Amino acid sequence: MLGRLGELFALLGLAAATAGGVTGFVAGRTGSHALLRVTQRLSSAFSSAMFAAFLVMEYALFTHDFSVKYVSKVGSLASPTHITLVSLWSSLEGSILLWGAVLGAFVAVFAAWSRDRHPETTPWALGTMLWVCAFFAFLIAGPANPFTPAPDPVPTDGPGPNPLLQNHWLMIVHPPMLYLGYVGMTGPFGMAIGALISGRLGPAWTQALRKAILVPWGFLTVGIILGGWWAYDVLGWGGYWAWDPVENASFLPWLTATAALHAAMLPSRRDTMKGWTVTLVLVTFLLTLLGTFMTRSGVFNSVHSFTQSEIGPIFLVFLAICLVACVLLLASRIDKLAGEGEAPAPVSRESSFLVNNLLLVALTFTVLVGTTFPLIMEAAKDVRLSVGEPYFNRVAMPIGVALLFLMGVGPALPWGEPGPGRLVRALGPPTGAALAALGVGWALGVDTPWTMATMATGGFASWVTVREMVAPVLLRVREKGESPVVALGRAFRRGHRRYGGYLVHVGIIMIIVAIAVSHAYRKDVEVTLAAGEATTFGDYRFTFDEIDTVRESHRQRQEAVVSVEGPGGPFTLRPALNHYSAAMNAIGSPSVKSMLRRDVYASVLSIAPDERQVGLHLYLTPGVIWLWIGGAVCVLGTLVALMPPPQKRAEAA
Amino acid sequence: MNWKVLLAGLVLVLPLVWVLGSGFGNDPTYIPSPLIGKPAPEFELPVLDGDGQTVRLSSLQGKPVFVNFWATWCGTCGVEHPSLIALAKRYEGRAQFIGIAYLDKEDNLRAWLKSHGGMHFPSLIDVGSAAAVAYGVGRLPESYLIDQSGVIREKYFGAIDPYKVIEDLEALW
Amino acid sequence: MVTLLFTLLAAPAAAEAPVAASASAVGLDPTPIIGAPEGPPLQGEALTDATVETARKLRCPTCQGMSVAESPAEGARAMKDEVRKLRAQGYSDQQSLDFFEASYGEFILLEPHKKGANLALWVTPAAVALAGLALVALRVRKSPPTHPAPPSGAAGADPYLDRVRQEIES
Repeated sequence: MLGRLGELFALLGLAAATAGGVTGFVAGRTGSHALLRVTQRLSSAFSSAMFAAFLVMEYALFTHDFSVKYVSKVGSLASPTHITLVSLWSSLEGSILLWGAVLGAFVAVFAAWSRDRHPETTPWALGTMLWVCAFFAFLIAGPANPFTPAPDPVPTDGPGPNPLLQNHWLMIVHPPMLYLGYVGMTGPFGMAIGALISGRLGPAWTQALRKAILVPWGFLTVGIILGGWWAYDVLGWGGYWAWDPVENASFLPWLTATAALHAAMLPSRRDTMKGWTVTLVLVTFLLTLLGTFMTRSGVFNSVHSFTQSEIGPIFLVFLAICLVACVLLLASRIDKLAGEGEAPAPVSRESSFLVNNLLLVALTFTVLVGTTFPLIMEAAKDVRLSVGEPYFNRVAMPIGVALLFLMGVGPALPWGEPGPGRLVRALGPPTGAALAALGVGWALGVDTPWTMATMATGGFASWVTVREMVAPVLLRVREKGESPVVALGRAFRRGHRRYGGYLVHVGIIMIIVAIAVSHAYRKDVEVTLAAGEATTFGDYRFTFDEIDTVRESHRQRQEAVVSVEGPGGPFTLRPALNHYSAAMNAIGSPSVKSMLRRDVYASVLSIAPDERQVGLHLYLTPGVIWLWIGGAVCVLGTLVALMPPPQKRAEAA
Repeated sequence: MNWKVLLAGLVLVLPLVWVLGSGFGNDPTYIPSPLIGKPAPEFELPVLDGDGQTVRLSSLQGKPVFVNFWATWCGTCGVEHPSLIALAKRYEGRAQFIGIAYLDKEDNLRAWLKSHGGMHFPSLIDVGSAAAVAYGVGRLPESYLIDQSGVIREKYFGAIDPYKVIEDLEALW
Repeated sequence: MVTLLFTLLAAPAAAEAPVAASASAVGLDPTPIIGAPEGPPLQGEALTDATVETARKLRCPTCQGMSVAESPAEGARAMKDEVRKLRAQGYSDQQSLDFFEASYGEFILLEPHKKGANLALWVTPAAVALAGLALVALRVRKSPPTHPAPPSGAAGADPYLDRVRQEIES
């Protein structure tokens, strides 16, 4: 019954999106205002239908309606309510449904924003988005239909979602964040296509485009960092990033979106780079599709892959159509867009934006080649090989350091053509900061070349970034005689986009340095301890006290109580093995004590049947917490950048 | 039409689609073994419930040997076990079937075998997992067909298809 | 019946050394595959470091994508033990990798060999980066800007402050 209802909403969504795609394009072609209104109504219909379908599924899960096949697949009477609600996105069909709902939300926001703006571009943009919506609604109504009835007889209970997904609260937050990021890129994609077809990319549209990229970019950043955090807190190998195809799939659009955000800053200042910006936006969207394909086609080997599914080929057809259409559209329309800008001077700030884009695109290309290379070789030569961490680290590290360097040098460089004196004055003090950072690193025992390079460029970039935030305040204090607090408030309000951007830079600097340090100086050891026995590792002494068994409704948890003495201690770690009824093997969950300087991390390898002996894997990882702090700073920066400008807030009030 | 953009775009896009499409139908977990056609790595392993006796692979030469890596924690191993028993019976005296238990405990093995139709061919215990590594065992179960002269002829991933094994075995005589 | 088979099987072997007392009696001799150890035997911290060095380059075959050094999977841990045994005997990093490659194929290496078609993995990104650099350089140098630097504001003395002023006013 519920299944039929959900299916009906999915079909309604499909009909609305398809019709809206058609009317949108016709409205764009004819300039008909009436048709644009129809398109907007249809987009609302799509959004409502998707949201309704989503609610139906949540209700079915909540009421344990096992007559719906998807519920019988991921639901379980034993699961706690919050697990039941989030199990909607624990498997393929449900995740596509969530995708549709999020898509509905984004389209609704765009439709509301564009209601009375840019009548030449909006119909094309909205039409494009609705075509994408139509595809996903088609998946939900057809090949990935989560509402199909369960086979007769209706089961009385289900296995519950994948135990790995039940293990941590982050699994509740991480996938929706990633989807908000992935799906949100449909917005800028539609806007870029609109700009291409209509040939109009003015400052207002560019600014809106930038905001439309920034929102999903923020979600994607959070999604990626939470994914790393989840891996770190759940998988128990002391790492947070494995260059797994699915991780790469989320990283690729993030890279190009970052490039697009920077490229989009140029046209608003100088009339260059329009075509390039649009290209980057299209590529970002295509990469989100590619990422989704990677996760769901079963073609790639990955820890995170959904199991083999039939939607792979359908998805590939859609991806291929989008790829070819984008290339054709770009080739035929890009020249209409290119502004008559001037070329930047060799060491000016524009050039540093160009180099930034070059580095980000080069990294994107490298990660893409590395990720698909095993497939290429298999297709071309029938050879199986792996491309993993050693390769990616080798290529990504220099590019990361170069980006960090640019993050420092870029803002320090003046716009236009600088003279040598200005250059020295601009770059001198931060160079001092770089040397200072190097000194601090050396004192802390940093001795590998890449880590040293990261510390130095990080110091340089930090100085420049902080100076960029402080300088306007000082200027106001000196020239307008304002008190520092007032000056800070006003400078912040006037230049919130700038402040947001620099805050994100601070976050990224933290993240890159944390990655370099934690990667180079991680130490680990495997030990077997009897109850009461202790071992010394690094500056710490670990004692295994006992096994503490906790029974929960959906699992049984064997916690190894390990007391730790050392800097920042004493404290207790409780790494555990979780036994789920659905899983054959126990799933470990590590225990971490995060401190500013280092994390002490333990995971259980084995527990003797009599519980008197435990095998532990102990890790000491420096600086990992700065990854999460950096992530939080990035979010803060994104929010600041998205704040409505002061005059608008005044209007609203 | 900007031909440069068109060309660059197609050069990037078309191979990508081809590569992604070519991946369909391939099982990403299937990795052909480099050992096929090579002499089988020698091992000498203790026999489960064999009172300390060991089996040396080279002592079996002259007959085809079918080596099955398995464990009680591997679900598919239970699925293929009846086929293995049937094959071992069918080729009794003509080919040697051997199980090698990987990462497991003797008590578990005994209990498992009891509940899966008993022991119809010897199971060896892979002490230290050295044999599994030498044979390139990844995801259990995996099996190898070694010919009369000690050369690996075939590797089987997952539950064996008994008809395929019969076909491969018959081809050796 | 089974016992008969067993005796038949075990007879030649039973004459040899008793089982399982030492792992080497059961383990395999890597010499035919990778030759004699190239270095001195290792132990203690040097052995731990060497083990991690090699294990980080090997792919865990069951977990896909994670290295043997990192994976908590039992299969990976068995492989790590094997790495430790090899390195303890003095086999070099490369020899140990070769040993695993012989049984698992190139698939087991997390970074493929730098030869043949694999070179594309390093060459194409480098080529794209260089081409991009050339494009940027060309674009930057093609037409030197005719406009002067942004006009200085009222204060005019410090161009950096001018810029800050310009940016926050814009």
